[in-house]
Amino acid sequence: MFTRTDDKITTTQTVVIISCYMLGSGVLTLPRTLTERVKTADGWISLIVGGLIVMLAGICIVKLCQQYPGKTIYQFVQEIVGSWIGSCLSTLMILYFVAISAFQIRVMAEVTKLYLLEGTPMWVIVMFFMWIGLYLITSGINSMARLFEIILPITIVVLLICMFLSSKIFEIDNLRPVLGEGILPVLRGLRSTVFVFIGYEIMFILPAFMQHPKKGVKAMIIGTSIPLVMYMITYIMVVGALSVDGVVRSTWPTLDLMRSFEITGLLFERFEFFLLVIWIMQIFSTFTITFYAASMGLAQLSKRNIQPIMYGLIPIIFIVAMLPKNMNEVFDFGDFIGSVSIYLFGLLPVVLLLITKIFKKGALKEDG
Amino acid sequence: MWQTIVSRIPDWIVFVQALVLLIVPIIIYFTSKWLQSASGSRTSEGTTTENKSEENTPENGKAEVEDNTPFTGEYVTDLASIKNRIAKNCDVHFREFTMATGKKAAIIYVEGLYDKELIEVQVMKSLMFDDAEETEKSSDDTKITKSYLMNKMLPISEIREALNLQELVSDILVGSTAMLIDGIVEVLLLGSATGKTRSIEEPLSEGLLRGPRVGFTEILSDNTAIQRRHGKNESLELIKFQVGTRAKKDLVVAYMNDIVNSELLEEVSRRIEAINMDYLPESGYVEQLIEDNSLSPFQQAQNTERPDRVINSLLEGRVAILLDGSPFALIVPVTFSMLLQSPEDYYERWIPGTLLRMLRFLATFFALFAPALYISFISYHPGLIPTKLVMSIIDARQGVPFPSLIEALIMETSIEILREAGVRLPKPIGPAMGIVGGLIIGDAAVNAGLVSPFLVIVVAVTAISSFAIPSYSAGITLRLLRFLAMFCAAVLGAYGTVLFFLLLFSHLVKLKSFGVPYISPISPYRLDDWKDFIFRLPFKVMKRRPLMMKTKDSDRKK
Amino acid sequence: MDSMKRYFVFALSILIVLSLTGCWGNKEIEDLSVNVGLALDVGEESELEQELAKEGDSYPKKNLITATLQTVPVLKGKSEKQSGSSKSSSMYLNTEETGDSVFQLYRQYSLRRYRPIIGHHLKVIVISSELSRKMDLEKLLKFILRDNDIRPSCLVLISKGKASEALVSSQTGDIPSFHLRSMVENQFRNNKILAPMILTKLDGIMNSGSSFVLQNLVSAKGEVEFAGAGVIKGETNKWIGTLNEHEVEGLTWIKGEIEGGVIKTYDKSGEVLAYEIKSAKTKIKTKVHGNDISFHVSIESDGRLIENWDTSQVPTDNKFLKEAEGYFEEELKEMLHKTIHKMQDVYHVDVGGFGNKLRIQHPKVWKTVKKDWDETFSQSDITYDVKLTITDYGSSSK
Repeated sequence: MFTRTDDKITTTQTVVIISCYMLGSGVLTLPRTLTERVKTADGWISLIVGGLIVMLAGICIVKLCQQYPGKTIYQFVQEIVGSWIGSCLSTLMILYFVAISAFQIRVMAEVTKLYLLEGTPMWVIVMFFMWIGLYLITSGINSMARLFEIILPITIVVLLICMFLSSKIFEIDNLRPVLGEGILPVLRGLRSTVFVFIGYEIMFILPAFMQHPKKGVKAMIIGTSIPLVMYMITYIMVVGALSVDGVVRSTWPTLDLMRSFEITGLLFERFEFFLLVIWIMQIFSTFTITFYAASMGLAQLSKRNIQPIMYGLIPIIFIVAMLPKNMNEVFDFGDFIGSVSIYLFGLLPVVLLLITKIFKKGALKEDG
Repeated sequence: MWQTIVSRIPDWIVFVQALVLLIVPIIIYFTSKWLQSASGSRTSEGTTTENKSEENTPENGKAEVEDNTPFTGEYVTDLASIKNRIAKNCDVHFREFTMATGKKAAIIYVEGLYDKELIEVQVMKSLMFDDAEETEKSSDDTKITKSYLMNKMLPISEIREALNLQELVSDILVGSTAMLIDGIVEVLLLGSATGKTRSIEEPLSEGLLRGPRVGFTEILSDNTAIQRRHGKNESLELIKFQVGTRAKKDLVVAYMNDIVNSELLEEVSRRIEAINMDYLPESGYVEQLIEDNSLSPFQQAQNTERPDRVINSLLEGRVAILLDGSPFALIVPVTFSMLLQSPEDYYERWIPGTLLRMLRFLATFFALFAPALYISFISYHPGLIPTKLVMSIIDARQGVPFPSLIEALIMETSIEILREAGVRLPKPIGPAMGIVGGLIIGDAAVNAGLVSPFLVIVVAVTAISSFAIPSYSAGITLRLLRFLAMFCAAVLGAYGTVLFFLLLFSHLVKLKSFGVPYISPISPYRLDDWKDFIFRLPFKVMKRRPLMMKTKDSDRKK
Repeated sequence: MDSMKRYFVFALSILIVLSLTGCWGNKEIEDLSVNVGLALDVGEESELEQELAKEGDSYPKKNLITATLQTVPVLKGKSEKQSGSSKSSSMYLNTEETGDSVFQLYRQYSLRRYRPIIGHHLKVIVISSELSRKMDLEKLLKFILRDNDIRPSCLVLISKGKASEALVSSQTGDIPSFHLRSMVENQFRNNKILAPMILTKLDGIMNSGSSFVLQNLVSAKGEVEFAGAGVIKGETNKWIGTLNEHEVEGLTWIKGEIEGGVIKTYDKSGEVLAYEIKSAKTKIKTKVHGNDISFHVSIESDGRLIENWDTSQVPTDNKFLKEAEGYFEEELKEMLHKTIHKMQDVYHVDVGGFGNKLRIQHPKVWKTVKKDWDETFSQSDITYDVKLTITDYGSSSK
C-alpha cells in the first residue's frame, strides 16, 4: 500500500494551509478597520508593509522550528526555557488558538445570521459547523491539507471574479491621492494589518509535519503572499467603490460592495451569494486548523491521545464563542486577540531563537 | 472584579447546548465504530473482521475425511466410490468401455458441459481403436502406465489428474470429463467445460458512440483471452486465485508487471486471499469484500464491462480483477476522477474531449446540487435571485399547497421510482414509458396544482444530468447524495448547502482506495496528473503515467 | 449486543429530535410580498388612515413622515387569470402609512396585509423635496442603511411634488419602481440624467459632509419625468433648492459624467443646430496661491453634427463646421456659467466635485479648508475653456 509516511504534508500543502488560515474573517472587516486607523485611502500600502513584517516574523519562527526537526513548539519550548515556563507558554498558545477558533466562528455566525438566515438561532448555525469541523480534523493534518487544496483555488477564482465585477462602481478618484498625507497614516495602519495576517504562527506546528522542512521558508513566503495579494485587491476595490467615508460607516464593507451592484441579465444578478459561500468555506478552514493546533497542543502538553481531546475541546470553544454579548464585544475580542498575537508570536520566536543560538540547546549537532 | 467575571458567564442554556454539542459526536463516533465492526470495514491497520463462516467447517470436516482417501487403482472399487458420490445427479453419466489393449475404462461426464467432440474423437477413438499396432510391438503390455497413456495415446492438450474423490468431484461437476482406467491410480481429467455461452457483444450498460464494440462475457477464459488480444504485450500478467468456500470460482488478477507498484499488488492479493464467503455470484461481492470503507457512499472499485477501459487502467498502473461468471471486471484503486471519465474522451480529439469532460463535471454539479439550491433560494433567500424571476415564481407558485422541500421530494421520489421501474420494463414499452412518465406526469402534476412548473424544470435538468455520468454506480451514489443535500438545504438554506459541500469533501479527503487518496488528482497538487483530469490534453503532452499510482515505469512512450 | 442496540436507539432519537426542531426562519417565496419602491412624504394622514384612526387604531407617534410602500406582485384570483385580465388591473399595490420611525412604518404594514415584506428587491426610494427641506436626509435613511435586507444598490431620487405620486403610473402593465430604475440607465442618451446615486455612494457622501445633488422627478397626470436635480447642503443634509434641466446639463459637463447627449443651440439666423455628444472629457486643475484657490475647467468633446435647420449651410464645408463648433462652444460656456453662478452665488454649495479635485491635487491644502468648504468655494475663481470637435455629420452630407 502506498501509505505516505504517516501524515506528512508536502511543501505545496504547507503553502495552502498558511494561505487558508490567513484568509479568514478579515476579508470582510479589513477595509473598515484599516481605514479607521489610516484615515486615508493608503491602507493598501500598510498591507504591503504589514505583510513583509509578518513574513519576517514567520521566517524567524521557521528557523526556530528547523532547529528541532520533527517536533512542534509544544514539545521543544520546554527544552529551551525549562518545563515550567515552557508549559506556561504552551498553555498560552493553546488558549490563543482556542480564542481564534471561537472568534472566527462567532463572526461567521453573526454574518450568516444577518444576511442569510435570519430566523435561525445562533447555536444551530454554530453546532453543525463545528461538527463537520470535528469530522474533518479527526483524520489528521493530511486530509485537512487536501481539503484546503480544494477550497483555496475556488476561493481565489471567485474572489477575483467578484472584485472584477465590482469595477462597475469603482472610482479611481476615491483612492487618490496616494500618500497624500505622507507616510504617517501608513504606519498608523500597521497595527490593523497584523491582525489580518494572523496565521503565520501556524508555522510553529507545521514544519514538524513537512516532508521537506528545509523548504519551510519558501513555503512561508509564498503562503503569505497569496493572502497579501488577495487582501490588497479586496481593499483597493472596496475603498475605490465605497470611498473612505463610506467604508468607515459600513460594518461589513466587502459584503456591502458586492451588494451595491447588480448585473442584470447574468444568471445570478446578485453576487454576494458567492462571496458568502467562499467566505464560509474559508472560515471553516481557519476554524479547523486552529482547532487542530489547539487540540494538538493540549495533547502534547498532557501527553495523551489527541482524539478524545478533540471531542473535549468542542464544548469549550463553543462556550468561548458565545461569550461576547453584542457586536462591539465581538470586535473588541478580535482586537484583543490581535494584540496578543503581536506580543506572543511576534516577539516570542525572536527571543526563543536568540536563546537557542546563544545557549546551543536543542537537537542540532555540530556536524549537522 | 469578581462581579465582572460572573457577569461574563453566559446563560445556563449555553452550557446545555455545549453539552449537546459534545454528546452528539461521541454518539456518532461510537455508532460508526459499531457499524464498522459489524459490517466488516477495514480499519487503517488493515485487519479485517471475521465473517461468519466458521460454522461451515465442522460439517464439512467429516465429509472431507472420506474424500481425501486416494484412489486405489482398482477399477471396480474406484468406480463404485465415484458412483456412490455423484451418481444421484441425473445429468452425470458413466460410459464404460474397453480399451483396445483390453483394459477397462470409464468416462464420467456431465451432459451439456462436457466437450463432446474432444472426448468422442480424440479420446475414445484413440483409446478404443488406434493402438492395436502399438501393443503388438511392445512385449510388456499387460500394464499400461499412465505416462505411456498420456504420451502416446491421448492426443489432447488439457489433461489433469485427480488423486482423490474430493478433487475429482468438483471438477467433474464443473465440466471436465473424468477418465478412470483400470490399473492407473490417478483419475485423469480431460478437457474443460464448453457449455453454451453468450457471444461477445457490446455491453449494454456502457455504450459508446465510438470505440470497440466488445464487452466481457461470463466465461473467464474468454475474458482473459480478450485482454491478451489487445496487442502483443509481454508485460501483461494474469495470476489466478480461487475464491468461495463452497462453490469455488476462479478469479484472475491482471496487471502489467513492469508498471504496477508491487506494494499495491501485494495488498490486492492479500485482500483477495482473505475473502471468506461461501459463494460469490458477481464481482460486486468481491468489491464489497475487499473495499476499504463499507460505510462510505462512494464506490472504491470501479466496475466495467469494457476491455478497453481495463487495458487503459492497467497501463496507468492499476490492477484489474476478473471473476468467472461475471462480465463486470473490477479496477482498483479508483479515484474520483475516474468515475467521470469515459473512454470516448480519448477516442475523440482533445478539444471535444476536454469540452465534453468539462460538461460532464458541470452535469455532476447540477445533478448533485440543483434541487438543493432550488429549495434554499425559494424558502430562504428570495433576495438572491433576480427580481423578475422572483415575481414569476411567486405567480407560478400560487396555489401550491406544499413547501418547497415536500414538493421537491415528491417529484424527485417519483422520478426515482420511474427510473427503477424503467430498468425492469420490457424493451418495447421502455422508451414510451419514459416519455409518458416524464412529460405527462410532470405536466399533470403542474395542472393539478401539486408542484410548480419551475420545479419540474429543475427536476428534469437534474435527472438528465445524472444520466450524463458514465459510470452507473457513481450515478447511484450521486442520486443518494442529492437527497441528503436537499435535506440540508431544507434545514439551513444556502448555508446548509455549503455545509453539505464541506461535509462531502471532508469525507472524500478521508477516503482511501487501496492506499491512494480518493480525490487525487485534485490534491495534492500534481500538475502532471491534472493533464488528464478536467482537461484532456493532447497525447503528446501526456507523456507520463499518473504520479498518484507511484508506478515503476512512468514513461508512457515505452 | 443489547446495550449496543439501546445505545443506537438513544442516539437515533436524539438526532431525530434535533432535526425535527429544524426549519427555522424559512418562509416560502409565495407567501411574501416584494417591496420594490418607497416614497417618503411629509406626514399627512390619508383618508383611509384617518378613518381607521377614528375606529380606534392609534399609538404614540408624531405624524412626520408618510411612507408609501409599493409591493409586487398583485396576485390575481384564478378566475381572473383564466379569463385573461386585460383590464387596467394594476400590477402593483401602494400602501400608505404615517408616523415617525420609518422602521415602525414598515412593521405597521404587517398590521394591514398578511404577506410580510421583504426588502431585498427595493429598487427606488423617492423623497419629496418638501420633506427633505424639513428633515435631515440622514435621519430619513438611517433605517434603510442599517437594514440587512435592503441592498445598498437602491436608487435615491427627489421629487418636486408628492413623492407618492411618482409611484403611480397610468400605463397598464407598468410598475413605477422598475420604470424609474430603468430610466436611470438612459444616461447614455441624455446628459440631463445624473449618474445614479445609490445608497452606498450616498452614505459615503453624507458622512463626508459635502453637498450633493439628487435627480429630481416631476409628475403630472400619472406620468413622471426626470427634471433637473435637487441640491442638498452637506452640513445639514437638507434640501435647499433645485437646478433646472439646463443647469443640470452644465453640471454633468463639469463633473465629466457624460455618456451621451445633446447640445442644442441656435445659429446666427436663429435656426436650430444640434450636436450629438460622442465623447466628453473634463479636466479640472486646481491652483493655489496663498489663501486663494482657483479652478480651471477644461472640456474636450467629440461629436456629430446631427441637425441643422439652416439649409443654406452645408456640412461638407469646413468653414461651416468651424462656425458650428463655435456656436456650440458658446452654448456650452453659457451653460457652465449659469451652473457655476447658481452653485456659487445662489446656493453657496459645491456640487461639482471641485473639492474632490482639490483633495487629490493639493491634499495638504484640502485639510485646512475642509471645514467650510462650501463657503470657501463660493469665493473661488473658476475659469473654463471648451473645445468641441465635430468629427462627422452622419449619413446625410447635405
